[in-house]
Amino acid sequence: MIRFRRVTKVYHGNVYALEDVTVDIEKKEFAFIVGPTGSGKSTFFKLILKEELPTNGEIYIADTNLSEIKKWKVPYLRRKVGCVFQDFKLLPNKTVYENVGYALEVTGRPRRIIEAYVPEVLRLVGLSHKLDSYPDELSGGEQQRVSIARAFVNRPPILLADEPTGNLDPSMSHGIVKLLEKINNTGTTVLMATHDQDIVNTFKKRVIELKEGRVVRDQLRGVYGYGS
Amino acid sequence: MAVNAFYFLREATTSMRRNMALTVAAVMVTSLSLVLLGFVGMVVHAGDGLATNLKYRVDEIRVFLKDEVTAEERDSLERFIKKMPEVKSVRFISKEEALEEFKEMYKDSPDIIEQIEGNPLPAEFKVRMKDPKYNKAVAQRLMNRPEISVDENGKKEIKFPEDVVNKVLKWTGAIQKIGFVVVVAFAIVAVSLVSITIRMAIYARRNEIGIMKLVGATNWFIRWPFIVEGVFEGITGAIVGIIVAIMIHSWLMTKVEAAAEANLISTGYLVLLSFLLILVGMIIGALGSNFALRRYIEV
Repeated sequence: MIRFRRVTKVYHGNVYALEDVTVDIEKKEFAFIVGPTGSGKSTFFKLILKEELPTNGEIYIADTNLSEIKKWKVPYLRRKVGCVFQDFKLLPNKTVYENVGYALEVTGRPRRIIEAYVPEVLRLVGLSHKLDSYPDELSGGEQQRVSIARAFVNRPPILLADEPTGNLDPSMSHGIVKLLEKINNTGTTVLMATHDQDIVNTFKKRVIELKEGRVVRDQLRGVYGYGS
Repeated sequence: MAVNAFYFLREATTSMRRNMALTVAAVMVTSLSLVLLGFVGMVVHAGDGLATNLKYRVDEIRVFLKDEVTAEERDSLERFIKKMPEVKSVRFISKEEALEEFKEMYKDSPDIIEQIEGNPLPAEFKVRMKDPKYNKAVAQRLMNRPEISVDENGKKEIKFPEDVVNKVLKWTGAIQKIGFVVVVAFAIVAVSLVSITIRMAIYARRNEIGIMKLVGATNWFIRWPFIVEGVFEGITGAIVGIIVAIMIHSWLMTKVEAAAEANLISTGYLVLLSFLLILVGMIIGALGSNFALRRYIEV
């Protein structure tokens, strides 16, 4: 589903964010990307979304070479890749329902689709009772659920989560990863960047460890690090 | 697409309400530049009309006589003129007739008539040509006739009607040139003001734009509300401009038309001008939003 072939990304001519990265992530897989800040996790995601272009190497998403996707078609790529962030990125002046519906609205989906999809996905994330709440009336965990619902309402084949539990306390974090697992079980490939050792060790998923831009470990059913 | 059009319109109006003062400023400067454009258009059109209206007198030159010319000298000059093959007819207007005509022309301003002492007006021949192109040649042949009066520069007083036409055209030409520069300057200010309002609108919605990109909204979908906003400002400016231009027209031009005894600006021309102003307004709006979008929405 996601293939990196000897991908190198250099910023400003000499800053190596990723170096010679070759990774295969299969359809329906769930993988943690771990590593300290600055190890290249965010660049990894930006390359998948074609927000950045690789300096060297090739990236394939669902067997399409990203370098062959024309600029104007990038939005259609992004519809296939849902995104969740540490800071939720919800619109404060819109309700839960509107925030999730917004993702469908701005991709030009008709109202009847919005009315059918939004309640369903909010039921999936467990927020059916908060449709009309505003983001600041929700807890951090609930806000992250809304943002997951928004990322997933389009039914994308891939979901990227960049430190989704970074702002949450441990009890809520588990719930969020459980939700991602649930989404993974519907057939969506899930990629989650994190440096939450507890989470990685509890869920026993594939672990791809980045260090200074290189893949130093790729392990099925792994734990956070050899030392822990 | 119908759903989208509604969405874009709603987004645009919300955004304009949010930046009311700026929007009003942009609309005002747009309308100001369009009022100027309309004014210049009307003056130039009226000038052309005036010139055309005067054309029927274009084949006539006026030859002014010295006061001391005797009846014989006068007849001799008349015969001399009438002998020329280019001349169609000659009409003599005596000093008295000239004064009568003058009094008739200024009958509404008795103070001007009161100021006249005696009769300062010269007698004249109105010489009608078979074709206006002979004006110069005929005048040339009259240059050494002693009966014709001389102005303070020693030039024979032979008046060509083209002088009036040329003067009108020269003035409208000057207004056209200066007006064009001023209109362009104002249009540039209008475009940058529209651009600023759109920039503010983009800034106010930067989070939404980020999320729109994130969930895969196309660039055009992101751009449309801002283009609608810019074009709407341009059209509103144009409508205000048209109203003001028509007011100026009815207030000012009717006076000029009354003096010229001609309908210089037809309704058809006003309609055409209105369409032009709306078109230019739309262009101003579209350009303004285009500049803002190119600089502030990176894809």
